[in-house]
Amino acid sequence: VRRGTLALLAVLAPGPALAHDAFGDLGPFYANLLHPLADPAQGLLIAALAVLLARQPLTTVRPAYAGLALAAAAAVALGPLQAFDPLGLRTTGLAAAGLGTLALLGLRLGPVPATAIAGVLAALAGLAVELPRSLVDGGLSFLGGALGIAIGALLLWGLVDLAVRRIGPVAGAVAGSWVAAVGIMAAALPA
Amino acid sequence: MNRVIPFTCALLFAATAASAHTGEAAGGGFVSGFLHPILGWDHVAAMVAVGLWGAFLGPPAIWLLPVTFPLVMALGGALGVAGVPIPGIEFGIAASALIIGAAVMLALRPPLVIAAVVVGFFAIFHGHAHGTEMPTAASPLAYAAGFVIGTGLLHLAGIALGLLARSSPGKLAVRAMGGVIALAGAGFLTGTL
Repeated sequence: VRRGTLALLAVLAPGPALAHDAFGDLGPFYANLLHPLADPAQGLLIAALAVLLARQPLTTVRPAYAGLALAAAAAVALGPLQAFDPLGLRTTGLAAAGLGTLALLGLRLGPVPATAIAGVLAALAGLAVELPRSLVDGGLSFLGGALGIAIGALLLWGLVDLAVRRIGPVAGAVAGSWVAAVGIMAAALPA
Repeated sequence: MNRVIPFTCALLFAATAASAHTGEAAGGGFVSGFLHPILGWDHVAAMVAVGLWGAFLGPPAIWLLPVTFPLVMALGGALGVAGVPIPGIEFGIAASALIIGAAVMLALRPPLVIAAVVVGFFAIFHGHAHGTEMPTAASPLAYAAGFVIGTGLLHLAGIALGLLARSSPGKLAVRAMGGVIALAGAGFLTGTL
């Protein structure tokens, strides 16, 4: 009877839930640094921002990128307080389609609108990062999440900017059309 | 026997770890979307033909056609996701290789708007074919990104080949490639390929 009871307990005992364990056990810092690769919605938003910034002059990119990094860090820190899913497919898709279209058309936004757009959307991307409650893991997750967005945007911006310089503005327009196309389909997907 | 049965049951029903939001889903979705246009010869032929035609027509068609295609393809994909039926999808895909390949072979130079409309019309069929498969993918959004990038890279391959048309022998080679694609399209259309 005792063994039967133990067996019943073993059956009912839940296994550990490995949420956001995207690339194996990398620890909280690297798991969140690579979060944009595991969460396509966050990755799409970052890619859309990077492509839009690559179509802007450097005088616009500097404040916009600073706004993006700061807003992302603030949103990651405030993430545990939000009570809604910020990156629904429809929201992400429509945002990416809009940014991709702006990049495709090559519209010059100016520093203030570009910084505002980068800040708001980077904040949405930042809210997708989940922070554990413990101080050490939470701190490492915050660093990883904020850096993941900032570095991801910087790398993609650099890549598209390089293509624009080498090939011409058409490279940015093509990248914009790709982002807009993915955004349109994301918006059509069932939520 | 009394000892064995409870432990066997425990092993059978023991809960396993739940791995939510894994990178495998995103990676798998992206790869399957990326490979979908690349591993389908009918898609490859049509995409390369779009690039060839764009390069053959020269600026601004060289970039306008490859920009038009993914955008309209996305609309077709959205229709596919929404379950809106479009008749003759496979026919349209095969016809796209035949028509655009023939346009390259015959060195047709229609007004830019006409060329964009032709390319856009066929893009709807390609997008719909991808879109109907999208919701069943491991990660539909990653699948969409994969197939847009895969399609775009095929266009770039076509443009790179089409740039040969800057020389007279190269122009002949590009028109020959268009002929091969048109033949392949006819083969897809008749079911011989």
